[in-house]
Amino acid sequence: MSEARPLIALVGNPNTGKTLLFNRLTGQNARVGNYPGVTVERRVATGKLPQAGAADFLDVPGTYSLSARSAEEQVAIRSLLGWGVPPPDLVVLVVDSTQLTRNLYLALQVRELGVPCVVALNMIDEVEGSPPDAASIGEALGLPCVAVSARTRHGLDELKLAIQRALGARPGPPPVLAWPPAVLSAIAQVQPLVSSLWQVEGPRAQALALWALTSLDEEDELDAIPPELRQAVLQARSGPEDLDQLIVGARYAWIDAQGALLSGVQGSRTLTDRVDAVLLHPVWGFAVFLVLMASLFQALFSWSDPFIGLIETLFENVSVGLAGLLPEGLVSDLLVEGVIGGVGNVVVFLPQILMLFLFIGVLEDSGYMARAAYLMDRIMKAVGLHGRAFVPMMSGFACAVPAIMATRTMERQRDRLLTMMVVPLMSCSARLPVYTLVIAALFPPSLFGDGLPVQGLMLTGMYLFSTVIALVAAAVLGRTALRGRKIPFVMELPPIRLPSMQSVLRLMWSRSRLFLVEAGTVILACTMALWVLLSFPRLPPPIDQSEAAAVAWQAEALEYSVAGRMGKAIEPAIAPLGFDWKIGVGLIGAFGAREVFVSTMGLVYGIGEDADEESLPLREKMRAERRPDGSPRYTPLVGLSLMVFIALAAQCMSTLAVLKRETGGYRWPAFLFVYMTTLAWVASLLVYQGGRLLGFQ
Amino acid sequence: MGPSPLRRAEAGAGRESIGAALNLISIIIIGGLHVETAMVAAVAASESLAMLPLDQSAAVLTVGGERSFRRRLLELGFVPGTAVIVRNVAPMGDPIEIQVRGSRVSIRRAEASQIQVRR
Repeated sequence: MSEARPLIALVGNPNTGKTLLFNRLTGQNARVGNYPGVTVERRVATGKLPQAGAADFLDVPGTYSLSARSAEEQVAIRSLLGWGVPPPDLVVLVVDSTQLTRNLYLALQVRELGVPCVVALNMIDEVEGSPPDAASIGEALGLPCVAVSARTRHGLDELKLAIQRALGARPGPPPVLAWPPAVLSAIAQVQPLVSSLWQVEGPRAQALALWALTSLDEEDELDAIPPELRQAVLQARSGPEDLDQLIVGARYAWIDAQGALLSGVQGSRTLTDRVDAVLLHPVWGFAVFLVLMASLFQALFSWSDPFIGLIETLFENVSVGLAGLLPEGLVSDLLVEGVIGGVGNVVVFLPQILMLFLFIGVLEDSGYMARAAYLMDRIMKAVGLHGRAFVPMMSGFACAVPAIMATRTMERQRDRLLTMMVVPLMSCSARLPVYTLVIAALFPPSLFGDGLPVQGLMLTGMYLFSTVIALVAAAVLGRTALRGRKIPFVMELPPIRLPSMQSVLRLMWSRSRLFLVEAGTVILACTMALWVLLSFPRLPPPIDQSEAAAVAWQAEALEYSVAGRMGKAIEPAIAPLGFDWKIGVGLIGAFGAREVFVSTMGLVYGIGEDADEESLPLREKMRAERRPDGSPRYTPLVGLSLMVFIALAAQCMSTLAVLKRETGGYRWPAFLFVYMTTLAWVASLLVYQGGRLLGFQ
Repeated sequence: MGPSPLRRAEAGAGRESIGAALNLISIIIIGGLHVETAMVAAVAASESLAMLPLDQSAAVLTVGGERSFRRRLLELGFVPGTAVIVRNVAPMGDPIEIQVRGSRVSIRRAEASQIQVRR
């Protein structure tokens, strides 16, 4: 029973080593969920205290302050006070000892609330010169205070002891701040209402009044705020004084008054500054960046390829083995194609996910990711993306599924959403077989002798096209559907450190598990639904047992199935793009995964389902296919239109499934599907009809 | 009929009042110029953080911009009177890394230009 275990919340600024400390305090059993109502991850794991036994630890997302404007920022205060989530029994305030002044601002806010709290002066090993005196800082804040280093594990036992002692102990009154008269009168106006609405007294009521004064206004997007409180705050803020500045200023004045405690405490930046001279250099910085990104690219494409092949072979063998064991028929087909195929569809993503998060873990932990974002921000900003969007965008060339999961390195919801909405436009590796098939079948290898390598140029062109469209889409969506509030872009370049292998492995493990459990189930269900569409209603099996008859029967059965009928039903909609119902069936099949387009086309054209993009018979069939008027069905113009459609349409249920997991609902996957499919249809229409106007066939 | 003495007097007064008005206008203009130069002087003393040269220390005067944006900058320590130093400029000129209260944060130029500082 989790009720029996005390809940201990780890709160702190970003980049304070809070997550590493969380990992050090707990075992390998993090439970990951979302905060109700927002797509912010809530991670809880169980750890052991020396005598009190097991305790649950909560890793609260890093924040600079408790005041909030959006529901997303509100998570910090919700976690501390238990609004809509279980309230913590104790707060561990994780502080970066090398940046005490700014970290104490959040500490002071937490202190004002009067929640039981222990301060962990983390990164104590990185302090240059005299280390901060934990005892005097603790005394000033009126809280137990322990110097620790999550990295070297220094002081962890003392921290656990301090946590144990503080559990159940009530903290004394918070330090007295010299609030200016204007702030005091505003507090007086709001505090009685806060007391009665939230059933709080004394210092906590004052702290919540201050929180309301700095957080609420006409257009905040906070959850569960009583309207009368908002009215009272607006009333109190209507005076000429700048309350925000006075309140923040009074807190920093208190911190500055503790100057003696903080003076001389400084992080050692010498190594970092020396490394940064290279990493942020106009020439060397970009060179290092390019090399790292090229290796990431290589890892996603080549290094994970043997593992993908291994998984595919494994599942193929299981399928074949199972098909041999079971009597032929519906059950066998369901198990082999629906279930095994579906599980295979899920597991096949693992090599790329593991590879990507290995890179992200190392880059993030070493402090390089922040530098990459710092270098690229100027470019990414031009289309409204965060500097950190670069790695997910580039990973999108391999596969949108891990790339969407990689957007978690961005703190702000809006940045994440915008990136997730455009990553699926990047030309992923599943589109390559379709491009290859179409280009090889319908375009000449080169024109003007060898002067113009048409096929190579077409392929490069498709990659360029998808990248440009993704960037344009980011610029457009950022100004329309995802127009963000002006939240200042704040990044930190944390010190360069050796990455912690434990953290990296944990990240790889937790992301993979999350994908398997949450997105995997949706992908499995979709694969089975798609199998049903492609298999029902069924035709009686062929009487003739020859292979040719079996292949012909497969084509007929597909035409007879729901998917076949759907292909015919959508023909009027896709005819203006130059497509017939057979392509329609292929597009429906491609929804499972784009590369399935090729094998579905193989089925439709009676070549059998083993057709791949190198398949010569399939190319021949496509070239030989005629329209009712006798002209070729597949012209280069139709091919181009088809490639444009495949490039832009949201034909990937795995992407939609992982998007549903990451955004916590069906709203954004639905939006993505509608906007990409519309875009694809319009673009293909323009290509095909425009091409015809120019005289192409 | 010549102009009546009264009229002449009126005209004289008119001329006088025009002169007075001109004087007044010139005083206003010159005074205005004075005020303007005074303002120019004030502007010269304060400049935006985005314009501050590398490794040059300055004190925060005011933080502008929309409320949540401004509050976040204040909370990061950009309180009036605080010393700030530009520590690094990204290779393409944006963002810039600023040292404030012993910690370093990177913000975009557009945001830094909302912070007025005095050297």
